[in-house]
Amino acid sequence: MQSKVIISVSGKSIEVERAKLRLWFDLEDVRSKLKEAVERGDTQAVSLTLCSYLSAASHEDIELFQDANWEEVAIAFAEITFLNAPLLHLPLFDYHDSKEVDTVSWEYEGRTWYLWVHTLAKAYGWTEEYISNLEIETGLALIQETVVDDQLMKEWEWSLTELAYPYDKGSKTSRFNPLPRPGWMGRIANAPKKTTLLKSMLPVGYIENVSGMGLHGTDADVVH
Amino acid sequence: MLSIDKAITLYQLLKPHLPNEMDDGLDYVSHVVKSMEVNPAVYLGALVLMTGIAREELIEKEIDELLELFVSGLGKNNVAALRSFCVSLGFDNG
Repeated sequence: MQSKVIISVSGKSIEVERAKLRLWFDLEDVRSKLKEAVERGDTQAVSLTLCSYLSAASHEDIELFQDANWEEVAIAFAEITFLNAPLLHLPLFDYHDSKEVDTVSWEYEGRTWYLWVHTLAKAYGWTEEYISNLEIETGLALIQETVVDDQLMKEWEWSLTELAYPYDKGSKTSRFNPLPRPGWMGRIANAPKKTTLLKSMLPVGYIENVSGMGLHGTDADVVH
Repeated sequence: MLSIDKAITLYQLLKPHLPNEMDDGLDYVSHVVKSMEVNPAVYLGALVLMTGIAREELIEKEIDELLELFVSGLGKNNVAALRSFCVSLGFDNG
């Protein structure tokens, strides 16, 4: 894992270290503001958020990036976003639900960070300072593990209640009705089972495989 | 070379006139210039940004001189790379 990059802006060489969890969270927040500004086509907001991102990541003044030529800014942005990209693909953070999430009445600006701190502090007893300085992957993976633990505990508790076994009048039996899981905890689709066919049942001659799957247990696209 | 805010403004002005891909630099520039013939206001706006010369002053110049300034501005600001960068940020490309 790369731990730092050296960027060059307006003749100045700056060493930028890989962000810890808190700074990474702030940088991702700036990136989402950048995305929104791009979607609005707000040129001033785009350049401002780009320079804010670089300033926050490098601990340099924003003016340094605002006055620099655009190519240096673009290269620095690419290098720093690559440096801070999480190396783990975690379903909790990668999953995008198409359903719109309703804003709750207890929502407030910056709540997500406090939710993360609360989740980790409750599970491990760590302080906010300790959590802020976790490696990006460690923090994210442990948040997912904590959320998984909570869900499995809720499922266990649900299975012990009568609500989990509704009575069906038709069959006069009770059937287990599991607690629904969040979308990101859905089942992984299994690869289709391989079936073998007798050679005598295969077409004769030249076969061009357009299915994207191997033929006769091979990865070949063409079989003679 | 332009700063990031001016470069993004330049991209917003030029984007309908920038070709997707063109290997030859000369073809690229002639495509942009030809596409902008119908839009002199954008042409002038892009020139103001790239040269830093006031609009009134640019209007006084010969057409050939303006073309030279425009072409050198495209090259100096690496407009093809600017387009790739802006598209990578999520801007639409045309």
